[in-house]
Amino acid sequence: MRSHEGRRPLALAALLAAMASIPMPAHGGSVAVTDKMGRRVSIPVPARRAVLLEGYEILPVLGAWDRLAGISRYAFDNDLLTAVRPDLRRTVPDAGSAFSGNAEALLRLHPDVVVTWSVYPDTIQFLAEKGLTVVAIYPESLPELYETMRLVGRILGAEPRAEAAIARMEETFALIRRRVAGIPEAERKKALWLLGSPTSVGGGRGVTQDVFALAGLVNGAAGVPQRTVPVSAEKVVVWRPDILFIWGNASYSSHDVLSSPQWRFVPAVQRGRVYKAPKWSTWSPRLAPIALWMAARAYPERFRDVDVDAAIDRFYRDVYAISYAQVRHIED
Amino acid sequence: MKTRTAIILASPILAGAVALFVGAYGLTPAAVLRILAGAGDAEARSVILDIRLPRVLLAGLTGGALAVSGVTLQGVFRNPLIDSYLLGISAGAALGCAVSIGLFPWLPLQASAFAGGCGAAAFTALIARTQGGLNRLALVLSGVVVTALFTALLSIVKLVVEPMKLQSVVFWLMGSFSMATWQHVRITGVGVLAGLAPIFLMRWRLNALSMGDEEATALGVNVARERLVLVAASTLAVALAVSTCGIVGWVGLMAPHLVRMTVGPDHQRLVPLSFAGGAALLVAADTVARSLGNMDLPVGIITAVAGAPFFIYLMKRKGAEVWQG
Amino acid sequence: MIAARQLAFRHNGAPRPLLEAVDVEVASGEVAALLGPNGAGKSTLIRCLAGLWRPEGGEIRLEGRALDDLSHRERARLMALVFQDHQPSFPYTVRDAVLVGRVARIGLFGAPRAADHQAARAALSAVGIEHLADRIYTRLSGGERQLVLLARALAQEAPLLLLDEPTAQLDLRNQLTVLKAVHRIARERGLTVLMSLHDPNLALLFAEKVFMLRDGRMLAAGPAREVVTAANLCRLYGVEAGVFEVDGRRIVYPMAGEP
Repeated sequence: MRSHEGRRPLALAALLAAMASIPMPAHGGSVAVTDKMGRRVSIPVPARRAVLLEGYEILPVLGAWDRLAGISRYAFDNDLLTAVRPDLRRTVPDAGSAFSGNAEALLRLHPDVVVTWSVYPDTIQFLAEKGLTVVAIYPESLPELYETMRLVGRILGAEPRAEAAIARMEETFALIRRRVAGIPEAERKKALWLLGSPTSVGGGRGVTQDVFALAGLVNGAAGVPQRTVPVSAEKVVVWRPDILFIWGNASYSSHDVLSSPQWRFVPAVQRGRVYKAPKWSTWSPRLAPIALWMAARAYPERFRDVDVDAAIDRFYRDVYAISYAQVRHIED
Repeated sequence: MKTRTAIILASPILAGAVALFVGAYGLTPAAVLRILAGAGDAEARSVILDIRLPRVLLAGLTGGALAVSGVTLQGVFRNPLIDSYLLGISAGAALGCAVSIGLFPWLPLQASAFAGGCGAAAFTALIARTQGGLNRLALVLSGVVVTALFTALLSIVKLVVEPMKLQSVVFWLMGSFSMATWQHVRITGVGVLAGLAPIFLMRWRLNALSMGDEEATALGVNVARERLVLVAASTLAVALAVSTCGIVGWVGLMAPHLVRMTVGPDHQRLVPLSFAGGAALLVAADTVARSLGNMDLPVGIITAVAGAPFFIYLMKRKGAEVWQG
Repeated sequence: MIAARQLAFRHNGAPRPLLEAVDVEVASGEVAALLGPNGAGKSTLIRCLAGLWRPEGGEIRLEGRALDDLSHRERARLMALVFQDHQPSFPYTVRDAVLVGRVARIGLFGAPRAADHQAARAALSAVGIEHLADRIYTRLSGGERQLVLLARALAQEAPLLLLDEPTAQLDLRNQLTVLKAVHRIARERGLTVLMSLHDPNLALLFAEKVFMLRDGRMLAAGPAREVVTAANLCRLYGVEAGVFEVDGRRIVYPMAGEP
């Protein structure tokens, strides 16, 4: 905690320096970017009427609500956004969802840029043909996540704040890195990230893979270079993970895994080290507290002096100016 | 004929044995046999007895149910190109699954899929009634309509559902035994065997029913009633089987065909041998599904990928022989 | 054996009836033929008598009992039907196809027993096709398949045999084969037979009693010799035909040229 406070002024100083060095167009500029699907898109920076169908958890940091012409319908149920901006539903129009591609609904909002995810190329193609400027994102690593946050920051004319958020995330990551640095290779714990079903695990690609590495964990499924790997229960036993983390939006709980007879001999289950992540998006600054929580669960002896809840609360105050109590807590 | 029958009856046991020997955990066949005999360390025992064995049994029961249902419907409808999903069961179960996963998570998935499958079949029968009774043509046409309707509803649900849950739905639809537990085996076992029992007992009469409605009536069969019983029993068995593992295609079509080609169309033999053949096929497909690299593929993909070319091969080699002789 | 009084039939909502006020009576042990031009209603009458189609008027009695009072199974034990147009679905062996005839005598959850196999064997040999027992019945010629259907009907061991145009698709040789078999078996087993035929000569050869049906109405009924006359044939078919006798046998010959 104390070391934290020492770091903050440093981060702020770095931030100011960064602000000074980046040329900021007053308004009405545009820049060409290459999006996740390899499309060259010319986006207005800053936008006047942006629609975010994905990656919207950075919004509270940027505070550029007036540049928002619409937001994903799932944002209205998002605990963070509703805590930061309770009148969200009244002030920002519903733009539908990232994959239904209702062009009419989007066109009606007259957006000058639409940020969505790259999973449905047909939808994106369709929207682009209808004259919309669409940028597709899908961060699959920490650096990519930073780039995405920077991109959204640019679009909403609040890059310095995006940088500030990144810096604050890096602080947390640095803490984690320091604490796990001393762990020898042989003692690094093996972990698995369980997704929609317990036998669907996160592979060698994805933001969580980077978080595992950062937290000094070895991803049991790292050998498969995919985001999602369907495996048999047997395979999990073969991998012998020491700890299991469950995706926050999964429909099963850690109790379900712990009580299943098929998983009895998985080391993580034998030791009761199964934890369900919070229902927070991992494409957001909130990845940092998630990572901290994961690292603390994985190596409790190295984080004994860290009050994780307090650290998370700190993070929320620094980045979002709200307290941890106002959002959904981590249950495990 | 006796040898052929024996081979078909032995095939699920053979497939089951191979399936028990194969798996990511890497036990030798000898080790597996030791475990089955009661020895072996606790962890290896758990892998075989808690993971592999229920999975193999579930695949066998499901394959058998699909095959018997397929052969029954083929006999009742006098058409060898019919599979277990004729009356809309697959579309109904898929809708039930999507509704449970996507809209009402408090609804248990299996119950919802089962209700969906039976509901669709009942709906088909209801529509057929308005076309002048539960005769074959009306049932087939109604089945087509109901399948289309439920598929459309499924698309709507898919649109409304969150993307993450959508992935779960899509995965379920491809059919997989990766979540097989003893609980599933118990439920499916009892349900399938109870559902198929009337069919087993009435199987010889399928010979008469397959002669055509008028002829069967003249021969003394109460066609409407017996057809109802057979179709209802097969619907229950398939809806239950499908509610645990998702939609697995081709087995209900391929297994009866293969068996009919081998031992002839007499249903006295055909029905139990179809069960054996279907069980063997699906166990083999599931074994392949979990042995390709690191991944545990949905078994429905394997049956589809193997089914279509196999069917083409069948038609070229034996073709019309199989149905018209 | 079987008696129908004032039978009337029409399809749902059809304007014209297919049968009107038809009386049919066949005594036990009689072999009767039903003659009539195309569309006279012969098939309709057979189907009504068999209980497959429901007449809109009149009543049918089988061995004194009303047909409506009998269950499917009871009917099948009393009468067997040989169809004209059989659509094969699966390639059963002749043996299995004939065995199906036993279904009325086998319980819902049963399978053929020794007695059933015996009856099927007896039927095959009565018809004279035991040598075809293991052949696939869908691969047989039309005539042979008709014999298989006849054997199946015989396997039912029913006292009444109804045949709907059993010789319609057959050549001369096969026609004679089938009808000779029917005649012989009827005599051996004391069966009652009613068969619809398109050729009056065949009726004269093989039947004792003849019914003439035209436009859904019974034109004439009685012993074959009395009913098959030139006058009746003209009324029935609308053609000039003569009947002459040779060696005690009556033969119908059509007149060529203008009536």
